[in-house]
Amino acid sequence: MDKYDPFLYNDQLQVSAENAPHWSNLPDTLTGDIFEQLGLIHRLIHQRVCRAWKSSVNDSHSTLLIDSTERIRRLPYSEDDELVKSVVSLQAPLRAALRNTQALIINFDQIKRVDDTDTAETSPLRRFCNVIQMKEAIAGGLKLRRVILANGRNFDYLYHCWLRDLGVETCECPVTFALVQCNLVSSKNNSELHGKDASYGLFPTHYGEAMLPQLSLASPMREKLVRHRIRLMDKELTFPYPNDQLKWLRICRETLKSQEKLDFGCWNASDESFDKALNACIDGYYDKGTSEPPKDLSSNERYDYADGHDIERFAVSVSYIARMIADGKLDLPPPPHAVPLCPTHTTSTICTCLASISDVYKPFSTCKNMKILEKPRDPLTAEEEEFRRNWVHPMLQIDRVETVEIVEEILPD
Amino acid sequence: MSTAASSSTSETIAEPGLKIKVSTKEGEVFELDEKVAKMSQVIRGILEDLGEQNGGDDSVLPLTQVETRIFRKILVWLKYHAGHDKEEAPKAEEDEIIARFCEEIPEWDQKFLNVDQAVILEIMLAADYLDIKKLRGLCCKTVANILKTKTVEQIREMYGIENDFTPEEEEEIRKQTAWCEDEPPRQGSNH
Repeated sequence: MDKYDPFLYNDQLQVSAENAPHWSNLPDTLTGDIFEQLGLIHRLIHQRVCRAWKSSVNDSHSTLLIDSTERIRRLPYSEDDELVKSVVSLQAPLRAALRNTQALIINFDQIKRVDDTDTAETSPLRRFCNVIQMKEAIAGGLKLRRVILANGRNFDYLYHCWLRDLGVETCECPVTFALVQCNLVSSKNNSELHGKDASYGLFPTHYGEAMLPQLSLASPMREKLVRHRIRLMDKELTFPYPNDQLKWLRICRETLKSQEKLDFGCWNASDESFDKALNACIDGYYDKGTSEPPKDLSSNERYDYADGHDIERFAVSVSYIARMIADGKLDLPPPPHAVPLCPTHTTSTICTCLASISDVYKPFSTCKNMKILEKPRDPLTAEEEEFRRNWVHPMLQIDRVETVEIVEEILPD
Repeated sequence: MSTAASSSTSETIAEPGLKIKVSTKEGEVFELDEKVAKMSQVIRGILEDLGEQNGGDDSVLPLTQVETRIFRKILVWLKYHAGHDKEEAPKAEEDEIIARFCEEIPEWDQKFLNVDQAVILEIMLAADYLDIKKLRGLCCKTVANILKTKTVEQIREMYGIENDFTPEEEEEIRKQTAWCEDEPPRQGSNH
């Protein structure tokens, strides 16, 4: 007999009809918790059961769960007159339920967008935004002080509609109320994003504690900017080194610029835009702005304007500079943090191979842009091929040793 | 008074501590490892009141509201979680809320609570009485999940709840909540 068998003793649990516990036998504390877990929408539906159940809607606990949003999702979109009227009438019961609510949870788990072709892909954004806790200033007129969006994969539009339909409107600026001083709490599916303590990136390194810089602003943000910044989090890449590596990169660029050696694509940006992007990375987020690139730009310049690529470009640049220094082609200070260099892709400076060599570059393993850059620009000579086969940078050797040690620590067997 | 000694309990816990004896409504006595017993805040409280030095003697803690068959079932849950749950630091309020509402019921617990509706209520009542917070929460969530799949009429039948609304009142509620039903309300239907 398995002592951990969850079905153990089920055969002894038969209960006679006359001895079966009645719903009315349950204490109010239990029924209250059940109703709380039931969620607001089902409570509204099930208030027809009896008067006691009906009263449960108005006797809401301090925490209120709304987890059936798919049922009313269509309403804000609908042009049907009857349904639009229903939207209007929805506010009364919701308001009644919200009256005593201090924390509202909106669970978007069951929402499935028909036109969303990306639903199968579990993007970092979706993992990351599974649970969002809004801390303050959600609804000035109500007691509501906390909104938690669970599985908020479509929250950017629906969240707005929902709060509007709930009658929770505190500010004329759209969504300004939404992300002020909020705290993003990573979801349970977010574990793979942890363990980057040595890196500085967009993702919090401590579960449930980190304040994302881009969302913990002291002042309100416009909806467009909020959405833009959330979109930027939908990147698997994080800059894989501490801040001083970026500062070293800036020094290198300034030196190269003074030597007029700035002849490689993405570094030809103006000082202002380079520093802006670099500072954004140092500060923990990258904000390229929301403007479209001018139409007359070349493909290289378009790359410079490409949304959200700066982290990637900086990583490439760091590797490039480090390789040039290692090869004796640039007279610059070495990077403060060792840069693994691939002996195979000697012309692309960074490649997906590095993801298997160093954890630092792990996020690059699936990066499409990296794979494009891996292609040699010119056919290699026999001598270069020989060099490539035998070349191993000393830093890479160190990294390999460290990697082995780490693996041994993780897998003692 | 028979003794249903839980000899397997000691295998569950890495460091067997004191043995705690409890008796059910029918007077059947169970011997639990201290760690298992203290998952019930009620038992923990009694032990603390008595002084832990007395925990190892022959005194039996009466759990007069819990039937043997239900306690035996709950004991399976206690042993499993005593052996498998990790020590958790106290959660912040918001983490507690998230865990309570947004975390799914683990597979083992789903199987454990895959029993008759009435039995779930009994387990829930016992967990409430014994103050086993986690089990109580799981039961509440399970019952809520079941209710979500039932119609109003099915709920009334399942739990023997009398419809104390007048037809007019019920129709009025139906109209008010039509927006959150899957299907538009059927006029005049009282299914």
